[in-house]
Parts: sequence; structure tokens; C-alpha cells
Amino acid sequence: MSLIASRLSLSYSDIPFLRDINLSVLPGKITTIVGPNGAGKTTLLQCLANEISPTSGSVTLNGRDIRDWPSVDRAIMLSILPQHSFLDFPFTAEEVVMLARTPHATGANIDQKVVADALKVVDGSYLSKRLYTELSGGEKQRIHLARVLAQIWHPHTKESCQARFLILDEPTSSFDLAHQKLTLKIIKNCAEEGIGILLVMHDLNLAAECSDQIILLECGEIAMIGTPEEVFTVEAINKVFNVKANIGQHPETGKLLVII
Amino acid sequence: MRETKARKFTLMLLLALLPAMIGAALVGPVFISPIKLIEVLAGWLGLGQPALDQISVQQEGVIFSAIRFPRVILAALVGICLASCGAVMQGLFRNPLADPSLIGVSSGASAGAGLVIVFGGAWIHGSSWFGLTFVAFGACMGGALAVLLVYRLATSSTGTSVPTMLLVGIAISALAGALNGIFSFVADNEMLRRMSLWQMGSLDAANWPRVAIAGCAVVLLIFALPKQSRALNALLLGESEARYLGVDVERVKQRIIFLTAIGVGISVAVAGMISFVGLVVPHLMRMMIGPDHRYLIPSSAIAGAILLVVADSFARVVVAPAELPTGILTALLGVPFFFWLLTKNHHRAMR
Repeated sequence: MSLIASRLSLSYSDIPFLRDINLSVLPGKITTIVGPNGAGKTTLLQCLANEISPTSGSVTLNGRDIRDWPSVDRAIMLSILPQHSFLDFPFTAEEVVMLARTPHATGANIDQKVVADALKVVDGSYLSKRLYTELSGGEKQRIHLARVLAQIWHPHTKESCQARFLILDEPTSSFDLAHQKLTLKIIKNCAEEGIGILLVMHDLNLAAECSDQIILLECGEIAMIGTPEEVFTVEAINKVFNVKANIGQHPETGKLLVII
Repeated sequence: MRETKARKFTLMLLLALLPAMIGAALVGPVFISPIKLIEVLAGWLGLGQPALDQISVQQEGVIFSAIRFPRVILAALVGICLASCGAVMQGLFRNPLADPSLIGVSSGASAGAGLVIVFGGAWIHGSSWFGLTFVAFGACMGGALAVLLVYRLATSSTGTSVPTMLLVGIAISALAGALNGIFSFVADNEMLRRMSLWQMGSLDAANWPRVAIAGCAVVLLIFALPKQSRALNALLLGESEARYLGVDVERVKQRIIFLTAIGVGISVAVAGMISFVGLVVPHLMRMMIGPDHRYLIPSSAIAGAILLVVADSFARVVVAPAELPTGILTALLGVPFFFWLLTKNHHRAMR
């Protein structure tokens, strides 16, 4: 039960975008990809999501090549939040979340309960009847977070499809502090339920706080992989981000802090 | 809940369609009273007492059976085709300003009709095949050819690109326009008049075989389009998002393009070019009941039928005993609405 990329490489007309990537997303564990702009973070996520086929190497979901899964089975196990979603049609917020139930056949009652619960979790219940097109950027992002959560709300009843994975590309990018914190809490809760989580984040402190494993990506290659303490060193940050940083400790949680 | 409202609204539209069609059957150069309609219908069914004025009932019976009924039913069927295809096209292009002509079907049909009118020769004009003139047949072929071209050119090994399809559609439309220009250039006065009248769209050639053809298209659309509703809803989020939700995006695109080509192609063949129904009606419905295709497709279909039935009644009455091409009336109603839509969206973009 895992999402594994092995020896993954991708190139377009001989220009390499990803080189020899090995990573695994395990149930209940939070893996975070960090790296400078253009390092290939989103491209890597798209490979894992079966949106792009790698030039070589493979992605497996529960031991089976991701391309071989029927698309509906894949959708009930693997939920993906892209960096941006454009929706120009005046759905209400709850209708947008309801779209997540497209691959499910659980019936209207369960679907409505899941949608309401997912909206509650992201602090979006009060938005449910509002038109999506009239929401602010942060509110829209919360609705989409609720949507990807609603897609894998319960483990599916089908024996072979009970694993759940959540891929979030910069989920906190347009959130205020309170909602950033809420998002971390949601992610941790999901992990406790056994969902395997893969994140892309720019805020190293948020990444350090929630992640079990950090993948530092540089120019399409994995520069370092390990726990936050192993990866976030003064030298590594200086080398990859070209920024002088200080490493400290959070006075309360004891988690690692990156101060620049 | 919006869904309940949408259901009720669709039902209301359905209930309004019948009176609209009955009303449309009564008006025209000769107004026929509703009582006569009942007498005629009763007579056909073999019910009621024999009417006092047998001859006039027979006359009106002929007007109904040969002229009014096929025309009103054809108007409704064409309205269903155009508006439901418009609704799914706007969903596929994820743009409320899209309409079926974007994939080249209308301009292709226009060029096909022009070709037959100008080069078809005199013998071909009089003859017809199963109620369709050869001009209509040419239009159908032209429309199908244009869609096929647009689809082929926009499809690569990685799938069909909707933005490319839009651009190719514009190019193919321009090409068809140029061909039409050539046909007009070599045409004589009589041919020119026929071409321009054809492009305005009219239901005056309605007959039962045409009703049967359009009816087949409508049956196909009614069974096939609603099945794509949930996929289309997911597609509004974007193609990648729809794939993440387990939708087979390429198959949905193929089916929608195929069904639209049939629906619009047959509409154009039986009624010429009737503009704006496919654009305006789905947009209006979206404002009334929201963008959920499960309700948008049926409500657009019915509202399209009502609009075309009513517009066609006006077309027959306004300058009676002559009549206006129906396409002119829908455009006259549609253009101000379209401008309003554009400026409204403009404001939204500025905000």
C-alpha cells in the first residue's frame, strides 16, 4: 500500500526535467517536496498523478503501474490538489465540493454528508451556499481543499482500492496564518487516519513542522532526502536556495525553525 | 436547495412547451380558432359529432396536417438540437460564450449549401431525397466535413486540445467563408438570393420527412447527452482535475463533438442557419438554475424548443402574408442579449 516512484526520469526534446527520482509515499506518513522555483516539483507531482508519462522509470500505486489502474479506481484512492484551479462557472461552494464525489456511487445522502463534513473541516460551512465565482482567493483554495478531502473521505469498500493518498501542491499558498495552521492540522489528521500524503511547500517552517520526510529537489534531481533535521541544514539551504539561513528551535514545540 | 428548484423549473418549462406549440399551430396568415383545432383533432381520432361545416373543417385539417403541425414540431425539434448542443459545447470549451459554430459545423454547412446551389445545376434543385433537398444534403456534408477537419487537426498523440480546436475552428470557418465568397462571386442573381436566404435560416420547407429526420437526431441527443452530465460538470474544473476525478476526458470529448456535429448538422440541413439559439438559451438557463449539466441540458433543450416555436410564430405573423426567415428573428433577439453578456463579463473581468 504505497505510491512509489522508481528511477523516474523525464525529458522533453533531450532537455532533462527530472532525473532518476526515487521516492515513496507511505500510508500515514507526510512527505514534503521543497526546492527553488523551477526545480521540477510540480512536474514530479504530475508524474505521480499520471498526468505526465515519464520518459523512463515507473510510478506504482499499491504495486501496480499507475497507468494500468482503471481511472475510476485511481480516483477513489488518489486525490490531487493542483496549484491553481480555474473555474468560471457559478457553482455554489458545496456544488464544487460535490464534484469530488463523481467517481463514487455512494448515493446522494452519504455524498451530502461527506460534503458538509469536508466543508466543516476546512472552516467553510458558512460558504456552502455562496457562489464559488464570488469567493476570495483564500476561500476558493479552502473550497478546493475540501473538495480533494471529500474525494477520499472514507476508505472505499472495494478490497483492492482501500489505500488513500493525498497530493497537495502548495496548499497554503493563499491562506492567512490561521488557515495555514488549520491546514497543517487537517494534513496531520489525515495522516493519522492512514492516508499517505505528499506535499509541495515553499514555507520551510511549515514543512518542518508537519513532515516525516523532506525531499529537497534541485534542478530535477533529489539533492537530499531525510527527516527535517537531516535536510534543513545551513549548508544545504545555502547550496540549494542560495540563501544564508539560521537554524533554530521552536520555543514551544521544539520543532526545527529556519530563520532567514 | 438549487437542485429542487432546477427540477421544478425544468418541469415548468416542459408544461409551457405544449401551450406554446398549440398557440403556434393556430397563428399564421390564416388564424384558426382553438375550437376548430379541437374539432379537427376529434375528427382525426374519429371522436365527437360530425362538424356542421364539413368543408371548412377539411380545409383547416389540411392546413394543420400539411403545414402547421410539421412546422411547429420541426421548430421544437431544431430548438432542442441547437440549445442542448450549445449547452454541452459551452461546457466542453469551459466558456459560457462558446457555441456550436465554434467547431466549424455552421460555416462548413453554409459552404456545402453554397456549393450545391451554385454548381449543382438546375435539375438538382427541383429533386429531393427523403424530404431533403440536395442543398440541405450538401449542407449536412459540408458541416460534417468541417467538424471532421477541425477534430483531426486539433488531435495529436497526446489527445485533443480544446484551445487548438477553437483556433482550428476559427481557421476552418474562415476557409469556409472564403469558399462561400468564391461561390457568390461566380453565382448569378437568382443563386445569390437563394444562398443568402438559406443562410438566414427558415422553417418554411417543413414537412413530415424532415420532422422524422430531426426527430431521430433529437432521440439520439436525449439518450446520449445526459449521460455526459457528470463528466461535463467535472470538466468545468479543468481537464486535469476531471482526470483526477476519474473521468475519461478524451472519450467524453469525442462523444460530445460527435453528438454536436450530428445535432447541429441535421438542424442546419432541415432549417438552414438559425443563429444564437445555441448561445443564448444555455446561458440564460445557467443564470436561472446554475451550471449543473444534469439540469442545464434538459432545461436548455426545452427552452430552446419554446424560443424557436415562438420566434417562428412571429416570423409567420409579422409581415403576413409573407414571412420573415426565422434565423433573422432569433438573431434580432439574440444580438442585444449577446452585447449585454459581453459587457457584463467585461465588468466581471475588471473587478
